Amino acid sequence: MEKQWNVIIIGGGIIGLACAYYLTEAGQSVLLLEKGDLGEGASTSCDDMIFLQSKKPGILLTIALESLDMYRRLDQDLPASIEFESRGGMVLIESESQMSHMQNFVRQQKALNLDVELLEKDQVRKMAPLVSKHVLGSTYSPMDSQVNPLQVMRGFVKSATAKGLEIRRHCGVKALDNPSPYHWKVTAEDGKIYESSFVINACGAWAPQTGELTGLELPIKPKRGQILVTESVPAFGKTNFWSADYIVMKLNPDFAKERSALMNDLGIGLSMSQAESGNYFLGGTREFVGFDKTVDRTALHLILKEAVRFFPALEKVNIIRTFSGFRPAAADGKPFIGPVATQPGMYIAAGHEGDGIALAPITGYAISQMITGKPLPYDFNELSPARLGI
Amino acid sequence: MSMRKVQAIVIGAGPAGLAACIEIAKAGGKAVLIDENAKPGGQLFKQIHKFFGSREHRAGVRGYDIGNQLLQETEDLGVEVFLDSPVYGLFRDPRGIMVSYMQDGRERALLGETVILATGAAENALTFPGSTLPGVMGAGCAQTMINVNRVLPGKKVIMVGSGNVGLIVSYQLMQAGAEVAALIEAAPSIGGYGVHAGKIRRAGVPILVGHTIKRAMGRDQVESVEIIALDEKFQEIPGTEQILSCDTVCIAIGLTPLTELAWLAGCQFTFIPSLGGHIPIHDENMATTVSGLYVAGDIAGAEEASTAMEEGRLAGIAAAEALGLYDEAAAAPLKASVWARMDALRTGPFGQKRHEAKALMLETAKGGTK
Repeated sequence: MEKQWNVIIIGGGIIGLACAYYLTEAGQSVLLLEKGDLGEGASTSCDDMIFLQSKKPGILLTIALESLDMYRRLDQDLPASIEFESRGGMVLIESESQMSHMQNFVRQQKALNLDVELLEKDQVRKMAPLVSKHVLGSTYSPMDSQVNPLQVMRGFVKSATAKGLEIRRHCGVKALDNPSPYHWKVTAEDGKIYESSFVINACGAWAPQTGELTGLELPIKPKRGQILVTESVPAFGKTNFWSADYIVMKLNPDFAKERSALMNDLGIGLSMSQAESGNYFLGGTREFVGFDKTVDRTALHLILKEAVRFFPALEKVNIIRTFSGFRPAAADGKPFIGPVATQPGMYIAAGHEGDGIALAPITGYAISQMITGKPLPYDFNELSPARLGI
Repeated sequence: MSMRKVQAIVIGAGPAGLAACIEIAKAGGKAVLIDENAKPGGQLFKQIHKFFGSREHRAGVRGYDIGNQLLQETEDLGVEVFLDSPVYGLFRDPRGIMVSYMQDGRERALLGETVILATGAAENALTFPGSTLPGVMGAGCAQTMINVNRVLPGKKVIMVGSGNVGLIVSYQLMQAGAEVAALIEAAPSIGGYGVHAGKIRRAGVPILVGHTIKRAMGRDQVESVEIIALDEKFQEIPGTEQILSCDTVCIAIGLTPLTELAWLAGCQFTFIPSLGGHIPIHDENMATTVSGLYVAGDIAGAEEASTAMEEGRLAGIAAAEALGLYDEAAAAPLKASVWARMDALRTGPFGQKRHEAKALMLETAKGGTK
C-alpha cells in the first residue's frame, strides 16, 4: 500500500504550491498532484502585479495587504529571487466624473490602511512624464507591488520539496472517495490510489471539475484575460499604471454607458506593468468564452489603442508576444478559502480570479492554519465555501 | 470591422508557395502570396545545381531557372505578391482565417477563405565549445553568401554533415574559390547522393565518416577545429583527436520545419524524426486538422524543392476544390497526377524513407491521432 499522507493537494498552480509551502513549513506530509505541468494554467499566463488599489475595501483588501507583507518575508526566505519590488501604482483619471468616484474610493481604502493619495495633473506628469496630456489626475499608492510568479513558484517548489513535498506531474485525479471522515482515497491517472486525511482542491478555473468528483457544484468559471508583451524599453514612468474607467465602472455600473459596447463586452480595462527585464505587460480583457485559449486581434487592437491613448510614445514600441489565461472567477467575485462543511477533510482554495498571484501567500498560510487547527489572523468566514451553501 | 477577404492566402514564396498560387490562379481563383523576404523564390535562387528526377520535374534544370519560371508564371497569372511582409499571426474568425502581417511598418490583416502555409524549414544548429565564434555558420547561410550575395565566407572550410546540403555546398564553395579542408560526418556512412559525394571526393576533399567536431578555436574568429572519431555507438574514441586549421565551419545537419504559424492556428501535430520533427498532421490533400488550412513543402516535412513544388500544387488544387473552383471530377485527375509524380520522386534508397514517413503521416491523419 502507498504511504498515507496528511494532505493531498490537487492542482500545481501558485495557489496549490503556496499551500504546499506553508503546510510543509508546518511539518505536514504533503503530496501534490498536477494534471499537466506546474503553473500550466493561469499562474504562468498572467502579469506580475500585486495590485492593491483595485480591491474593494473589505476582506479582500485586508488579506491583500497581509499577503503583500508575506511577500516581503518570502523575498528573504525563499531559495529563489522572486523579483519582488514595490514600484507603486497609479490609476490614471480622464474625466471629472471618474475623479469624483475615485476620490470616494480612495477615502474608503485609506480607512483600511492602504497608503494611497490623489495626484494633480502636474504631479502626475512628474511621476510619468510620457503620460498623455488629456489625463486629469491619478491616484498613487507606493504600496502596489510586483513579483515574478514563475520565480515564486520555483521558490515554493524548492523549499517545500526540501521539506518532503512530493509532486506527481501529468497525474490528474480520476476519482475521490471518502470512506470515512478525514479519510480520502484519491485515484490518480497513474493508476495508483493515494490516501490522506485532507484534500485541497486548488485547481483554479478547473476546480469545478475536481469538485464534481465528490458531487460539489463550485460556481467558478474561466474568465479569459488577453495580454500583450512589448519589447524591452525604458520605463514610461516610475510606477505601473491602470486606467480608472474600468475600476469606476466596476464600482458604478452606470458608468458603462460612457464606454463602447465592444469595450464592455470584452471587459477591457488597461493595465501596464513593467517586468524586471524591461518588457511591459499590456492588459487586458475579461471574457467568458469557456476554455478557448486563443487571442483575438480585435481585442488586442483595442488594448493597444487604450495603451497608446494614455502613452502616445507606445505607438513606436514593438509587441513581441500575446497570450491569454483563464482567471478562475467565482460567482460572487470572492475566492473560496476554507473547508467544505459536508465533506470532512475537503478544502477549497480556488476562485481567485485576477488576484491569484497577489493572494497566494495568505491563501496558502490560511489553509495551512485551518488544517493544522491553528488560529487565523482574520475571520475567513466571508471567504468560506459555506457562504454559498457549499 | 471591415476587412479585405480573398479566396486563398499563401504564406511563403518558395517553390511550394509559388506552385500553390499558380494552381489556384489556374483554377480561376484569387490568391495573395505573402513573404517576409525582399525577393520571392525562397531558397531556389541559391540552388545553382541541376535538379534530379524526371523531365516533368525539370531534371537537369538549375534551381534559379526553376525559380524564374515559377515567378514568370505567377506574374502571368496575376497573383498578387506582398514582399517584406512577415506574417506574425493567424486568428480564428467566423468569416475565415485571419492572417496578420507587417507591411511598411504597419500591422495589417487579410481574411482568407483558405490559407496555405508554405513557410519552409530552418537549418539545425550544433553547439560545441567555440560554436559562437565568427566563421561558424549554417551551410545554407554559406550557400546564400556565395550564390546570391557573391561573398566568400572564408578560404578554408570544414563542412559538418554529409547529407545532400553538406555535399552540394562543399562543391559550390570550391567552385566559388574556397578550399574544403574536410567534410566530417558522425554516422558511419555518407548521408547524401553518391553522385554528389563522388564529385567532392574526386576533387580531393577528405570525407571523414564516424567523426564529429569537438570544439572550434580562435581568438577573434575560427582558426582551427578539433575533431574526434566516434565508435558505432556515437561515443568519442579517446586518442583520436585531430586539429585541423580552417577559417570557416559550415554546419549541415538537417532542417527543422518552420511550424510556428501552424501551432498558432491550433493544428494537431505528430512527431516524425525523418521529416524533421514536429509536423502538422495533414491528409492526402495537404489539409491540416484546422478547417481551410493547408500545408505544403518543408513545413509538411523537410524534403527537397521538387517535392515541395508538387506538394504546393496539390495543396493549391485541393484548396481550389474546397473553394468550389473545381468539382470533384475535375480535381481528382489533377491530384492523381501530382501524386504519381510525388511517388516517383520518393523512390530509391533516399526517397523510400520519406515515402514511408509520408505514408505514416497519412495513416495518422486518417486515424485522427493526436
